[in-house]
Amino acid sequence: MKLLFYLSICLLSTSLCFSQKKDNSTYSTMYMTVKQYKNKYKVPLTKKDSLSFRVIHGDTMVQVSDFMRPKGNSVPYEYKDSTFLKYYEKVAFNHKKGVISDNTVMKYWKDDVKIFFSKSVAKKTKNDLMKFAEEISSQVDSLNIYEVNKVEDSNYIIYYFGDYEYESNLMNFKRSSNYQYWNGNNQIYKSAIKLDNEMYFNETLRLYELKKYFIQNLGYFNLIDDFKCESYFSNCYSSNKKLTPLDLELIKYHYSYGICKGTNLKTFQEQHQKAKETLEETGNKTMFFHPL
Amino acid sequence: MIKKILTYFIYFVSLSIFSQNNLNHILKPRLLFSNEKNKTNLDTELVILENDTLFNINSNIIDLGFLNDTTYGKKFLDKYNAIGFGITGKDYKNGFQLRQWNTPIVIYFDKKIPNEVIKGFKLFFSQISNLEHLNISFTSKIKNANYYIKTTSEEINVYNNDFKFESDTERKKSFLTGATYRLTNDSNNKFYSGILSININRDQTDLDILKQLKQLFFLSLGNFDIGFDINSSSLLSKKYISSDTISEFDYKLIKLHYSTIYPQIIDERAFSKLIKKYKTLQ
Repeated sequence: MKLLFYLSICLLSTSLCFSQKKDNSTYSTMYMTVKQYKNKYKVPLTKKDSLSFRVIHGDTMVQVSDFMRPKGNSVPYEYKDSTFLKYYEKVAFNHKKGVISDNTVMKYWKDDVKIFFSKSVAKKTKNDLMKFAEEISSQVDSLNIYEVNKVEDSNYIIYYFGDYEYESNLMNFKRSSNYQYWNGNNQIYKSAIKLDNEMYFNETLRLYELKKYFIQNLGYFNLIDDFKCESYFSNCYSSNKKLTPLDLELIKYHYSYGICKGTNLKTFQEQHQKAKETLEETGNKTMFFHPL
Repeated sequence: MIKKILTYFIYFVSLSIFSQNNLNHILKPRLLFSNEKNKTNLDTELVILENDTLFNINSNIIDLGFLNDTTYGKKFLDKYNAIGFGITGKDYKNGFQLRQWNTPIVIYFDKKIPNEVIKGFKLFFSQISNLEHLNISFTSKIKNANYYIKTTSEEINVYNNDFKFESDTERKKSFLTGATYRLTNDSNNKFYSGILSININRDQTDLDILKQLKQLFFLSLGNFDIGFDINSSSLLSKKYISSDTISEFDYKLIKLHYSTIYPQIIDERAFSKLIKKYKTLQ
């Protein structure tokens, strides 16, 4: 139990899940390696510090009593097999121009997704899209999606060509497109879809396009060439798209508390490697900390 | 004797497994994971979840038997490579790729299109309705369509302003004057909807309109490349002489083009590899 405690604290100190927000923080005591201490505080260790040294797995650990820890929750690492992670990485880390980079960051919605539809969107199309959204959000923890009637209450706008230009970045687009905004923590806070309703000349075609963009916008996701066209995460058309068990599992995992969110690919892979090793060596799960 | 038969059997089984692997290398298979467990998918990729295991249920078998057709000689394939893959004057990185419809085409005609034209169009394209992977049908309800043939009063001029015609008649008669199409495609170079717009206020006869629609629609079946010296019996010829019967060349071309729906983007090099691969299997 003690070992688990120490290891958790060590990982906590390096975890990118950690963010500094004074208003939400509390002070606590923790241990870190000498190297980590020097890197973080840039001051030599004192005699007083040495009194509280502990040796864990051959490493000398320094006690830090004024460690500022934000309010939040620690949750155990969620183990996934390597095949699942291979596909998750392809979907969640949407590399620029398809060039794989360690620095590519995953993105996610932290707040509720509040959708506003322009008046041009047919009632049936709107209802069918919201049913699809409900099918997803009802099965995914921490992802809430609902419709709002006022544009000012929304953070997600769906509109057609010829409507008021709700999203200035899509103003000059001659083809249907979507646009997303995210903050420094890679949390998506705003989205828009603008559809060419002339090109997509009936409601079936429009709904297909809206669902395609909707899935992508749930996490700035990439559509991949590994899956058969029936999967929503596949990059090819099918008139028989369905949310496959794997599609749903990928979204669930993206919004699961058992992973660290907003990280880059390198950190994601390293964290999983470490957590997996810890699990194999000690049988204990690494804890991930999520600030509130 | 039994030993010999067994040896040959093992040899052929390994050869076929090896060949399939090589084919997968050329055209990456697409997987569909499901929690259905059956004998055929036990040896394929698995995704192990906390409370479940997902199996790939897609068999990924691509039948290359169509390449056995002896009428696809070198001369024909060279022409197909140019038309189907568009190797003329395009950036290699973006060009050279085959384009197909991967869903049945359901056509809706604008009410302003003359009935005689519609009748002629349906009759003409019934000649290719028996192709395995190309399905063309018609609907009277726009809500069921994914291909809309519509009229417009707008002037349509596909050619650049500096494009020189031999005569004004040639410009007017060009099948790309006064009509055009727009297709939507996925990231896998497959089409799934389209609009063909035609301006019918250009003093054309029904036969002129029919000829233009036939040519443009055929072109849109693969967004084929034109501009080749091709026989005037072909719909892809700028000098096409309209006929009620599809030419042998056009039939062969569309049959080859829709012999299979390729699961991945396929370029001319991958296509050549498939032909070579097929030959090694013979």
